[in-house]
Amino acid sequence: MNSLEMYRDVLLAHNEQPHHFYALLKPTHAAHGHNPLCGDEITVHLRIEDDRIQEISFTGQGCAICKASASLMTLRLEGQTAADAEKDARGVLAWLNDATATQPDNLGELEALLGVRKFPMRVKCATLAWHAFLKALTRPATSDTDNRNSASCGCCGNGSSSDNGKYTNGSCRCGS
Amino acid sequence: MGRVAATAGNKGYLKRPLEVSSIRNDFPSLSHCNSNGQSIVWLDNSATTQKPRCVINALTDFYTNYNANVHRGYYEWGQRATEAYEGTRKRLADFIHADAAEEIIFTRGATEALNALAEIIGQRYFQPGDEVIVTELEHHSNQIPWQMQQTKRGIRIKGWRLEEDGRLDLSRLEELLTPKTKLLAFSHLSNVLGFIPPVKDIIRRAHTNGTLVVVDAAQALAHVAIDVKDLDCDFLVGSAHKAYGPTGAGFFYGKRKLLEILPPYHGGGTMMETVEIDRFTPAEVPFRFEAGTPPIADIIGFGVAIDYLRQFDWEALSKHEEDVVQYAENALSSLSYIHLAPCPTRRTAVVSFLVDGLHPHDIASLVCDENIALRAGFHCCQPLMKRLRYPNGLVRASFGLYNTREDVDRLVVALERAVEVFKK
Repeated sequence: MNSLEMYRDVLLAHNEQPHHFYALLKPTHAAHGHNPLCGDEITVHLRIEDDRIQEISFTGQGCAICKASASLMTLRLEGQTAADAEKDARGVLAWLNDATATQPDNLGELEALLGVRKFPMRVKCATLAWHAFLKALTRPATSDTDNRNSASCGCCGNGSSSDNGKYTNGSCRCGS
Repeated sequence: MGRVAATAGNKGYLKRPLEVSSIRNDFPSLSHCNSNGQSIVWLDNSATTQKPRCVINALTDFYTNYNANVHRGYYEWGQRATEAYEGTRKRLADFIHADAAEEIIFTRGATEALNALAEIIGQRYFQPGDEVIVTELEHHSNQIPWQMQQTKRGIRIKGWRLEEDGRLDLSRLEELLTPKTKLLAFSHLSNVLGFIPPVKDIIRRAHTNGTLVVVDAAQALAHVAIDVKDLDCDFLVGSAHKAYGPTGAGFFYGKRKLLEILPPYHGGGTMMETVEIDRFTPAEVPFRFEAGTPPIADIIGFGVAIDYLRQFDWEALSKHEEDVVQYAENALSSLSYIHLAPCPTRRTAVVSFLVDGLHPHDIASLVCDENIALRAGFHCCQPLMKRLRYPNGLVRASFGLYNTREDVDRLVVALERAVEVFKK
């Protein structure tokens, strides 16, 4: 298997010049995701108004796959209602984690992540931002100051083990 | 010093010449090729080494020809199994220059050895308010077991800070040692920097303070001649699988007089002398610390791995590894986009580095295409990464006796290709 299947041009471009790679001035929601095994960390910032994601951005550091996936995520989710975005993000996560899962609708540029699915060790890089996004939905920005303490899932370090009980028993559906 | 002692101890044996091509033939896994016909370049020896055929055969031989529990059966297989198992204890004692085979306690690995030591030393010696010193060089397995004693016994961990150049400064140890310092735990060879601290000086200094010393030799065992008597360490741990042996087998060494006053670790068969319904008396050393059926085949394989290593002249072996590591250091540092992690002494077995603008994980993934196994990340050393400011960790190439200059050349080509991918 050739890792160039994973490093598609689209991903390399998003890594080189990520979209929405900054902190929001006045986010309404934010959350931090951390992979303790490799040090990747992404904070997702949201401005949700009228139940719609008006603005989304991310900050942090990570490998090319991690950053590119975060960048693609911001393009995809901005403008969606919070409920639609949540459903969409869950669909993408399921698709990334499970080769037998159904492909999300209108994959668009996300198709570039197809190759990552063949490298189970790297899937966690691609899912980090998406986990952080789901967590952000439940975290009004003001309460996010100590979010580092609850950032990892124990099995892979993605997302959170304490997302209001959504991932019970340390399972974050990361596939690990 | 240690090196000379190790070879001197083996005088009289005719050593096998160190011919790398013939050594490589001993390791069946090294002949595997990818779909492009490229053979594996195994540069993750600090994580685990490949196994020579004799070790693999020893496992099969045990399960095929004399599979039996140890210290129990009166039938022939039980005797053979026990002899082979105890044979490893003798070989290991001889290998690290322990006074007696009884000073070697088998465990399931170096991690279990450190956990066992933390628990039994803690039980015997630690009082609330006592202090344990660990260095920032340490693998998590030489940190967390001691940290767990903090909550359990109210001791306090003091970190021996690493200098910017990766050095351990003895004057910092002076400042850390107090009458309450019960123990110092440190690594003989850093699995990230390839750095060997001044082991003897550190031990001597700790001992003048009445502080016990645990040496983590998990990384060192296959690369550095170890003489526990010369070092005068109180305890030392190692594992088989980083020294061409099977996984699931390791050991700790302890000075006999210390082992004799330490309590058992796990309870179960073998570790006791008499058992009544509500009490037991512990067995003698070493069995006191070896409850239950051990990984018999793996420990037998460990002994075979030690024999395998010892058939070579240790000096020739060290010289070969030094040559390849030095060659790697020169080759990598000649590339403008590569930054080597600091190492205050000559690098041993490990070269860690960063590639400009590229995340270590991306590097490790991309070189896979050339069938090169590198490691990227924190290498179980988060305090070290934090101190030396590597928030994304490092790329690590770690070497063994079968690695060659050609392996390094292939690594360089693969790195250049990886950098090209990102330049597009």
